[in-house]
Amino acid sequence: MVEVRKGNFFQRWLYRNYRQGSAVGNFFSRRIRPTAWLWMGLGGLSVITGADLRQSVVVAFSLLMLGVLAVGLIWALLRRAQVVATRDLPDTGSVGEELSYFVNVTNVGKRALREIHFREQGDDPRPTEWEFVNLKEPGEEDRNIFDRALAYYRWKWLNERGGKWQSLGRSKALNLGGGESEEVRLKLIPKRRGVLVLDDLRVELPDPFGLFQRCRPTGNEVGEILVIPRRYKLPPLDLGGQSDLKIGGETASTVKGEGGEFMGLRGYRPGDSPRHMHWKAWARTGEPIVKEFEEVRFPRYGLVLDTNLRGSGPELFEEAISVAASFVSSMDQERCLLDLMFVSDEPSVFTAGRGVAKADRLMEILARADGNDEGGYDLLNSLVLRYATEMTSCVVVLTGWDEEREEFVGSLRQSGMKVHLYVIGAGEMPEEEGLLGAHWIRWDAVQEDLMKSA
Amino acid sequence: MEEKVLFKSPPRLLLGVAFLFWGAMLDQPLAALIAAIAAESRHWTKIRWNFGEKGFARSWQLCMLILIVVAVGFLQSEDRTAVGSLFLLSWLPFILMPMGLAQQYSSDRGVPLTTFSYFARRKLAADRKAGRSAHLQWFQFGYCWFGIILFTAGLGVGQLELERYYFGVCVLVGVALFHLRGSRKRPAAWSMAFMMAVVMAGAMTEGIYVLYKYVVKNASLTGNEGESQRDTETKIGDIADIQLSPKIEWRFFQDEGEQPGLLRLAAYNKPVGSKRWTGRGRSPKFIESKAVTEERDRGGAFLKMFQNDGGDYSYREEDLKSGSFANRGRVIGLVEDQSLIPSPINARRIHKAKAEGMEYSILGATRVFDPNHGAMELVFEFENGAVAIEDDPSLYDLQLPLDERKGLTRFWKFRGVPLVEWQRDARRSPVISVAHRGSWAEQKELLTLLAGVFASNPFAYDLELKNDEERTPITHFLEKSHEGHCEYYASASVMLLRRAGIPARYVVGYAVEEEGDEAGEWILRGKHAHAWAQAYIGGKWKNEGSEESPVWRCRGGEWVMVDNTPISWLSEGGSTDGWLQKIKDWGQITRQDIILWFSQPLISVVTKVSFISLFVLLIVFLTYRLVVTRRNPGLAEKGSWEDNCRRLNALKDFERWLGKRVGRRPRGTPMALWLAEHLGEEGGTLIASYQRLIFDPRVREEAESERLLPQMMFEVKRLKQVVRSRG
Repeated sequence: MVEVRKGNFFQRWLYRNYRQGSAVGNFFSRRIRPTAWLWMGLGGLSVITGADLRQSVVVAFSLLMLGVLAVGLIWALLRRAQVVATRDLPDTGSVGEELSYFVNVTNVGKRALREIHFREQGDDPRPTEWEFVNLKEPGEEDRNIFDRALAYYRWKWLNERGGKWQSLGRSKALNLGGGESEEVRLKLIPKRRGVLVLDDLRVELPDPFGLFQRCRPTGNEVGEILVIPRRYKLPPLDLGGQSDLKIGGETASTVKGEGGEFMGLRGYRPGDSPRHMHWKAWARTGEPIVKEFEEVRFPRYGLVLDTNLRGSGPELFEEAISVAASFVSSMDQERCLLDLMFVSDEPSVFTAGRGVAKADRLMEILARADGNDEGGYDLLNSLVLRYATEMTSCVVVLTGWDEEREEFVGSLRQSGMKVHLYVIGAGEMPEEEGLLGAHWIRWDAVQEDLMKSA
Repeated sequence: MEEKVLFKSPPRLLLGVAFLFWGAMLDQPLAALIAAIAAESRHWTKIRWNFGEKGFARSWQLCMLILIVVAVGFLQSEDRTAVGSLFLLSWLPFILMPMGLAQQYSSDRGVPLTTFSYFARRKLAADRKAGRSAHLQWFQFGYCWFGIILFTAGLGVGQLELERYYFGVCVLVGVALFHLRGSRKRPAAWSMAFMMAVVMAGAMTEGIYVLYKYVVKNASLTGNEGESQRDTETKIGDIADIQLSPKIEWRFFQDEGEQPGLLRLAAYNKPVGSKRWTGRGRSPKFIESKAVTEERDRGGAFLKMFQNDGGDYSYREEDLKSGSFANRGRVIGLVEDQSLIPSPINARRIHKAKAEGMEYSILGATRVFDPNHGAMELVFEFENGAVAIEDDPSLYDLQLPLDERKGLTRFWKFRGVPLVEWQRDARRSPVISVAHRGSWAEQKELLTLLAGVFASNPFAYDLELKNDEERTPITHFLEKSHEGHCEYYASASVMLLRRAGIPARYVVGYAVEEEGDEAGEWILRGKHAHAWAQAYIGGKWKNEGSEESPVWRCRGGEWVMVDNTPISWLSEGGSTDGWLQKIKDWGQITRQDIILWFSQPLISVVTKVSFISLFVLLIVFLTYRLVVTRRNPGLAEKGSWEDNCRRLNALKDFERWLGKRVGRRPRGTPMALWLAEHLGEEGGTLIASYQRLIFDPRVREEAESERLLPQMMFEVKRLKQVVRSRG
């Protein structure tokens, strides 16, 4: 379980310093190219080793380095650009999967722009103070006391996984005459589900040496991409259940026409649908004959998602979303119905399956789902119990384990429903009676634990 | 390689030309040529090694090992000067050769950044073991090596070579800059910017040298009439820097007899005019370099000592055969070629000096010639009595700076001592006219009078000199300030005795005052450096030449030490009681002892043989490892995935070539369909080859690519001809 706590003064001080230092570092890394660092290093080394003017002329090399750097810096600072851009974005993306899109850029200034690049400024990867204080890098306890105290590696780790998305490099160099337009391709990789907002496209104006560059914002409209959650590979599922197959097929179909398996003909009984009338047989026999169909029934599963952030935190919640998305994508929805149930602003049920909706719809819903830290499990409990008789079995994905959740699971079990319990937690599974038969999924080893859950 | 690599590999010939430039600047053409061939041969051979993280780390460790060996050798060498260190540093590109060549001949495009830090490697290993994400940054080492070659080419090069060096550096840096930026756009802007940088850097370089000359050498700023401080230092040197230093310069062990009290380094007989004293601190200047030069010009600077078969040296031939002398002591310290050795004033014989030879000055200095090692232990035998090794006085020992003469005369007259006035006689030297004609006792009495004056008020010891511009330094010291350090007392004593007609010389050396931890051990630190005078009393002047060309020498007297510096000088200088100083002392003494230990013949031979054997073993081991781990340049190389990619790039080139004629391939249109549309049946073979190359996994691994790839390249050529023929 993630212990939620407020950091001490030292941790808060560290956080502020890392945050500000990171901002400064980011500012310079955008504007100073690696070649400039190489040049500065060589110049500095030559100053240190060849400072004796009586014995060497290395000062000439150092000053040439300095001259190149100075000219490059001034040149870059003097560059100007007026560019507008329009993004051509895909509708959706997926967490962890590279995504390409095109941007139409137009030089609205009069001057031609030579050797310019475009780069999307990625989402701020810096963690929140809560994350810095409460989350621990995997294996942090094995680090030495100095590293543990300064938590620099934790900061680095959080930065690597932070931000909703990350820009993958810059566009190729291009020349744009005054008023000209061109299309450039950019790449990004979504790191979190939800709606990605792209609103800061920069044009990079390097000096002729490629040592420094000026970063100017472009006039661009805000673009959005919906990123669906990360999905994990699941082991073969056997959700079974004690109730019979449930009604599906044409009952729940929005498509006109007959469904079900044809069994045979029989005499008309009052109440039979005229649509089932077999006209040819009636004409042959003179008696009204109807076609008899076997009713097709599909299993119906519930997928209950715990959106309560109390006692858990956003990290666990995100992993719970991913696990739920994995179930959505893995279940064979041509042969079953899936009810996704959770409490957002209000209790919500979304069904996907044959003739109802595609799994994509549930993915979108999961991509936009928010956690909440108000209220208990009463609403969710009554929601699930309302559909209990309809469901074959129920997959419950919890974001942690405490008394409230134990009570909720106990209530579901008492209703006679078969419950498949997946608990996203931190560390090893506590030895509690309520967790008997549950699958404990460590939030930092989800894939590994899911595969063990078969 | 999955990771992105920082920087590109230097273009063909750039490293080689840089090495040749290095060789031209430092006059090492052969070494430079070998290095250039070694660096550039990668372009002419397909042999590669897969060094990986471990291999690169080993290469770097080898560089560090070479650096340590070279540094230790340098520290043990005679040339531990700034010039020597710059010379050593100029070979840095060769010290980094294992790393540079590993990069050049590696199948990896870069070197992991962790290569250069043991701790970073440990951290990476720990991260991997713990399953944490371990980001490994790779970078191309070639340009670092290139930069190091360029700036080391300027080390050890004088200002006369500045223009040549600057021109070469500009050309090579320009090529590197142009290549590194990786874009062919804006060549005009690049050229203009580079020209601006070259001009700016050239102007700054010129400015710095002008400023340097103005600050360091300009007479109006330093008052040294164009001479640098280095040339005007006495042997004691700048009093604040050297005399107060607690550094252990020498150790003296009194094995038998009496402790000598003072150990002489050198003596001088010609003072420099006081106008030349106006440098920093206005210290008296008996300039060693000029004095010795003038002596050498007279053919008497240093003479070889007499030597017997046992390696003993003596100042007189008969002393080699004499029995033992009354006193025996050892001097231990670090030496270079022609180092002056602090020696007892009445030394007679030196035992088993491990050097090519020993020399002594006619003024009384002893020096070592070409020592076998960086440290020496010299066993001196010396007498108690006044048995001098130096020559009897000549007229040079009576000369005085003209501007001090009046002040010196006033000093003696004020104390009632009769003086002979300077007489100008064309037939005789004016100097001899003032020579003291009195007896030994009378001259001794004069020395006593002088000692009494300096030992009483108002004379006192002080390191802070209070000069003024009206008087010359010694006159000011004698008549107004009455305060100074040992150099002032020694200089004043020499000049006063000369003014009274007694030949005298200025001597520098060490006072034996601080006892060491061992029995009979005395520590000679920088703070014990001292100056005093020596006077020749009881002698008679004789003309040993002719009337036309007289050679005046004073014979029959004896040299006596005249140390008139107040005894309080011994309490000056930095404390040597602190724990930090104890550690420094231990380090200095240990270093001396270790070098001495290595200087023993057997140890020396064993050490050399061991080092050479280790070196040979290392070379054999490295050669063996490189031979067995090299990648096969034959079949596997040709069929490698990199090679396939290169050929695929050729296909991409063909796509561009065709695109210019028929229009670009629309986005989303597969290559095969596009080619089929424009090439028709003619392109069938190429399309089939392309598809196999892309989709058939066997092609990556099997020799099938041997057949497929040349076929595809042939098809590309053929199709170009077909398209051209279609117009």
